[in-house]
Amino acid sequence: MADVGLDARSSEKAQAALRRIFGAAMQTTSAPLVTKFGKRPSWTVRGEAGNIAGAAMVDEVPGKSERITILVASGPDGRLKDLEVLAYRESYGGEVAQEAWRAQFRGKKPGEPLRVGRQIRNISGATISTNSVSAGVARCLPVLAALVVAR
Amino acid sequence: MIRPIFVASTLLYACTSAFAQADSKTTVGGYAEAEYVNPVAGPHTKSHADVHRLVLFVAHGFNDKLSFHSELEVEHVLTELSKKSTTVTTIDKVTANGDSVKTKSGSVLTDVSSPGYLAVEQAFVDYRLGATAGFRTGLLLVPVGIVNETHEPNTYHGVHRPLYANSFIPTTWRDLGIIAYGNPLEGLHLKGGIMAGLLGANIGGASGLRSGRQKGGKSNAENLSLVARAEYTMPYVKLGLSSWFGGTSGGDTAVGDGNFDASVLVVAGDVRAEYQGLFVRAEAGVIELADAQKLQTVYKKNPGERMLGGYIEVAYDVLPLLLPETEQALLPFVRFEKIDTHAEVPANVAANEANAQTQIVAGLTWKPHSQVSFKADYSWQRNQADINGVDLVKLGVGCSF
Repeated sequence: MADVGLDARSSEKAQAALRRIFGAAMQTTSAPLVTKFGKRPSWTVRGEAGNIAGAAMVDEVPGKSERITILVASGPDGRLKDLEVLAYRESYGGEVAQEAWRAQFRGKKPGEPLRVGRQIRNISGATISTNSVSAGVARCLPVLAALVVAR
Repeated sequence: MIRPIFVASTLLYACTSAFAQADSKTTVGGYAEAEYVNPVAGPHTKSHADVHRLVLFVAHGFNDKLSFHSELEVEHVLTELSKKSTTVTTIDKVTANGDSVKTKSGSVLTDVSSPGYLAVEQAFVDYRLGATAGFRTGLLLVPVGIVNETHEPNTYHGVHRPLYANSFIPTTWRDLGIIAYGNPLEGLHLKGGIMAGLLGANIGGASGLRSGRQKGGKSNAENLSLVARAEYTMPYVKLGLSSWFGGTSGGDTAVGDGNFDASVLVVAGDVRAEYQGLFVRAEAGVIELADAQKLQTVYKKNPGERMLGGYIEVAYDVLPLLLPETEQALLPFVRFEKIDTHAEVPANVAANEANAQTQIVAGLTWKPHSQVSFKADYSWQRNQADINGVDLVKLGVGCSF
């Protein structure tokens, strides 16, 4: 069954991303989060030994005319473990999905500045997406830290 | 039930961002730019103030794969055809000693069009077949160079687009066609397709390819042309290489009725680099008109056989030096450009040195938001013939949303 608020393809991609980020042996507990665009999934993740391994959530950010769906995952310390682009629907661009660009977010903690052009590299010709995804990550990190503490 | 009321609400929505409507499948965006231009040196001394462009985008996502995109543009505020009354003097009588007696015979009405221009700049359906490939078809922007596809006012420095993007790569260059795109490797984006061609009958000496564009309104489609672009994105740097090849005969048998007769070949490279507030951008290209001599024989517009152009631009965001926490940007910039639409001429065209132009633009871009630019610049434009050089002081504002 697809995760709440996601189509089958994005849902599959989200599960694959969780397995990649937290390892195949992880256990997830999912709960819907109410976002600006309706309910989207979030997960708290435990390792094989039952230890808290982190949390992840799906959010949507605006592209030029279409939404970009992202998955943000952080570790037990609240630092970002990885960012995944689940759906990019725009006619142009799409470079925000590149590994080399996403990699810069790893290790960022809640409240840390993520300004495009300074802490985060811009991608020429994809300024709207880069700003939007960076702002989305900055918004998700404190939520994920709260999820880890709450569960 | 969004669409029936959509047209009426376009203007109301225009000042909200796409974000506010992202839960709707139809989105509205746009861009606008206004300018004040004061020629401080040169043959024309009158300054002007103008809303150069107001463009509205309307896009609709049918599902995650299929979407429609359009861009409707008004240049110079209004476009209308009005009647102008002119008093006409005619000679109706010649006296015996041969003097003519002029008599006012009343007035005639002639058509006067305003400087404005209303146009569809893009209208296409995009079919994204997977995460990394798809195609689009309809009225498309020609994927050559940087500015033709990315031409919103907050994406370039200076009140006016680079001279290169006006007189060399004729922005906005668009036509009907089909273009496929894909990312075969991470960082590499390829696109290529077939489009309606340029018209050699209109390609001229000073205007280059600019007047050869057809713009997609009942385009002559006798010369289906090939276009391709590769972009490679690396950390801090993006490289681009574009090419266009197509005939320009329009089926005129005086020039040739083959698809690639009177061919135009465009090869253009570009680079964009950004590092910690430093922005460097450069483009350069060459245009070859294989049958320029034949075009001149038939149409007499003095086309060059080879055109060359390029520019380099450097900008640096100084604001973080003063205000480290700022979200805004203040960028002094300088751009140096050279284009020559008569770099080589056919035997039956006299090379015009006025077509070898140099422009230096220096100024300031203030971006209180990444999508809003306030601009001021000074541009110095000269040509090799050393006639009609101009210096312009320009102020502008532009935004896109």
